[in-house]
Amino acid sequence: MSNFEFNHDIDMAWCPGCGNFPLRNILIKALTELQLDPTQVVFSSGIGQAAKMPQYVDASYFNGLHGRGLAVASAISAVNPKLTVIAEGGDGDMYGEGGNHLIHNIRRNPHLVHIVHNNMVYGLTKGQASPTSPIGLVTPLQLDGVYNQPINPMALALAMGATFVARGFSGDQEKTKELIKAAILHNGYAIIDIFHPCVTYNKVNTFAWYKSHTFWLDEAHPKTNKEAAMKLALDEERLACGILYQVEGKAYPQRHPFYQGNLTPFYQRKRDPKDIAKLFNKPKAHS
Amino acid sequence: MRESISIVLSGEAGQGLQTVEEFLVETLTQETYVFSSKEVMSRVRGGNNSVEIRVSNQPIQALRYTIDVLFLFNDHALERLLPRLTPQTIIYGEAPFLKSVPSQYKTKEVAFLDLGKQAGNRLYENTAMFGYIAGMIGASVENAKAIITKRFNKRGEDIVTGNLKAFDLGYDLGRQDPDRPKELKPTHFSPKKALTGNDVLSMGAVAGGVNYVAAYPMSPGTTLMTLLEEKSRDFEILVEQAEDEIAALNMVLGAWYAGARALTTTSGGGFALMTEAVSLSGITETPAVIHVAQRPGPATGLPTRTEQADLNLVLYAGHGEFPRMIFAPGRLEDGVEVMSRAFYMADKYQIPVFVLSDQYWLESMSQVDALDFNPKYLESFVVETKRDYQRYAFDKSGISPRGVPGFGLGYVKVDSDEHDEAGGITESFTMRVSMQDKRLHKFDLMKKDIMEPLISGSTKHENLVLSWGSTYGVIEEALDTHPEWDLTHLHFIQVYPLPESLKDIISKAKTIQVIENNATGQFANLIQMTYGVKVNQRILKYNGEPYHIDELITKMEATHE
Ligand SMILES: Cc1ncc(C[n+]2csc(CCOP(=O)(O)OP(=O)(O)O)c2C)c(N)n1
Repeated sequence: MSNFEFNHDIDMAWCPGCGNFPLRNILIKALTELQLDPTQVVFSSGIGQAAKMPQYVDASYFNGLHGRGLAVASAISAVNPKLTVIAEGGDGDMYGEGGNHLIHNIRRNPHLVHIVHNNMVYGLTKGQASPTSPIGLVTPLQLDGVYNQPINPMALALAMGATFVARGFSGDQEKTKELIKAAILHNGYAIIDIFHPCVTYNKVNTFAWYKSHTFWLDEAHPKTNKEAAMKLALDEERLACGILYQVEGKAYPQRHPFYQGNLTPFYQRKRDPKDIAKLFNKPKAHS
Repeated sequence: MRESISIVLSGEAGQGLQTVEEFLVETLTQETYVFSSKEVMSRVRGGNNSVEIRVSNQPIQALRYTIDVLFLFNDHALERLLPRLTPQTIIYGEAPFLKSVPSQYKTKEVAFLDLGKQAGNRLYENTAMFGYIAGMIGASVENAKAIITKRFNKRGEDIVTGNLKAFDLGYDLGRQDPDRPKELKPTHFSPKKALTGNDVLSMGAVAGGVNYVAAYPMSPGTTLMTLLEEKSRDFEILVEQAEDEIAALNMVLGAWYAGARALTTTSGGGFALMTEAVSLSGITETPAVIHVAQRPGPATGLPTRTEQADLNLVLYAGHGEFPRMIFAPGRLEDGVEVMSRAFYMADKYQIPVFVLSDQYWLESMSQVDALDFNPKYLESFVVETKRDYQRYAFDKSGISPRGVPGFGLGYVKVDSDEHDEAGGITESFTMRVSMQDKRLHKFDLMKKDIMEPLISGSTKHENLVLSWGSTYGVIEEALDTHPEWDLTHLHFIQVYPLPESLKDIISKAKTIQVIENNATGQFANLIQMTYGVKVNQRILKYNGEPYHIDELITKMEATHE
């Protein structure tokens, strides 16, 4: 079994010093430590610098359209519930273009992990504001600073009823890796918003900024308490990292009447031509 | 001689038009040729809807504009139909409903409500009307009663007996009606099954192996999804209502990628939202089956009406260049064939395949003797992957074998960026050209799988009439009744790509006429472009209605003067 690493050099399209590098290390470590079989792991991503992650991890992937990674991932996990499915991308990809899928997949509660690299800016398209950019952030497109309210993905996920809501920071590798592992082991939809600096385009939310604005939750945090989680999510001064909220819930395969406890992957479900004949009874007179 | 009568029921949504239609068609399909179609307003209750049931001694799949017999369900059911009346039309209804009928028309008062009450409940009035019509046209009492019994059995014996009584009361009156039309019974007839286009598409999807459906409701595309949900328990189909059409097609692609046979269904507006994902299907070589149920646009257009104006949309949807296939069913049985074939072709060529229908075709009822389900269409092209599997390998066959994640030792890496054989992003110009050539080469491979058009009429092939999709039945009837026009009819069930084999017939023809249910002649343009010919005449209709036989004959006659 391989360990999600390539046996040859790979050319990664990220800027030197980008937060995506440590995130890649964390991700590969998390998958390896869980001893997952790479043939049973699938990534689904959209477009952006963050969304290139699957290119650099040796496993299956569907690198689709900007914003649509979650929609595709949700179908993959429905069709083969035995796979470990990870939808991964940036804040623009997942909260902007893909915002509708975010809302509705929380309702659907598919069995997958949703990793959002939150650098509060659009990297690949060269620095425009993202849905999480703070008010006042000056960009090549928001010359007088961002004037729209940023979205609060943690509060949104909680309000929508997500059963696993977590925040990490690429600067805190060990702890963030543990979040990823916990998310993979969670039954149902698990979102992890991971702060990481964009060294090229975001000169405000830097490594030092994240360091000084975040803190990690400890054992004392009652993670099954939604009110406590919401309070933390709404605090935009001191940004809590860790599992804000986690409860057991019925995931899509337990909710959708199709499965009835049968998680057989679709490629193994064959339709018998004999059954098809049942579709049409030759007409005959009633009399 | 071909003869027919057209019976029209007119009333509000929710008044039971559909029940009477179903009773009549189900009865008549056992003993004669029948076709029915409804036209409804875009509202849930009220308004004015109508159903036309055409009975004939010959096979029939078309409507007539003029009405022979009209049944009114209320006092405001006539106004929209006035232009369709002739001095011979007889209008039936309760006395108050007939008050508004202009004096030049024949009317006949029948107290259906009283008949219902007499049978035990005013609710039986529709069954009394069914009985009346059945009596008028001499339908078999046994057949009719068997259908009534079947329909109401679950609701208890009293309700069955009451309805049967109402039927008898109506039937006897109808039988004695001195103005009843001549009975149209074919000399030889074997019982048939009456089905809608939606019915056969849902059967075709099952026969094509569908096991995953993601779609967002939009008329007239929704019924297919509903019918597949109804079949989902028996055939193991996962049906999911997507949050929007963008999600729907992306989910369908994710589902195929992971090993399902997936379908989405929508109408033009919803499909417009899917176009980026159509292109994704193209570059990732992920199969997709997309049902586009046409209704008149632009934008919301006429939501409950019909048109064939989304051919260009489906033909050109998606940025970039990549192969696709488009089917458009004409006869009822074509619905089964093209829908199941769509899954097979999508899987075989790893392309998006479209079934382009329209409101009229989907919601009309016509007849079949039997339906063939080709077991070949269930064949899967998915391979088990080896350790060194490459999703986009340059294979001798011209098509890279398609694995699915989790099945085998390899990784299945699929990319919307231009990619190398392994599926990794590349910016190599040479790789780009090789990959694009590989994808476009499928156009050549597909040639051996193109469906030929249906050809009928004159064997001289001098004067051609070309058509596609839902106009089949009406054009066939026009030609059948006018052999003197000496026309050859080519009806296309696959509208893209078009077969090269026709180049000869089409380029040698003296005249080419194209009949379409749209305003610009989109198929005519495609014919000109494909075969390098000039279409001499376009017969077009785009008011939101399908063609009516009498109207089409007038239009065609004008071209023969
Ligand atoms: C439909 C569509 N719209 C726009 C784009 C252009 N685009 C590519 S990535 C991106 C945003 C990238 O930002 P983010 O998702 O935050 O990822 P990052 O590059 O910062 O990691 C945009 C707008 C696209 N590829 N497709």
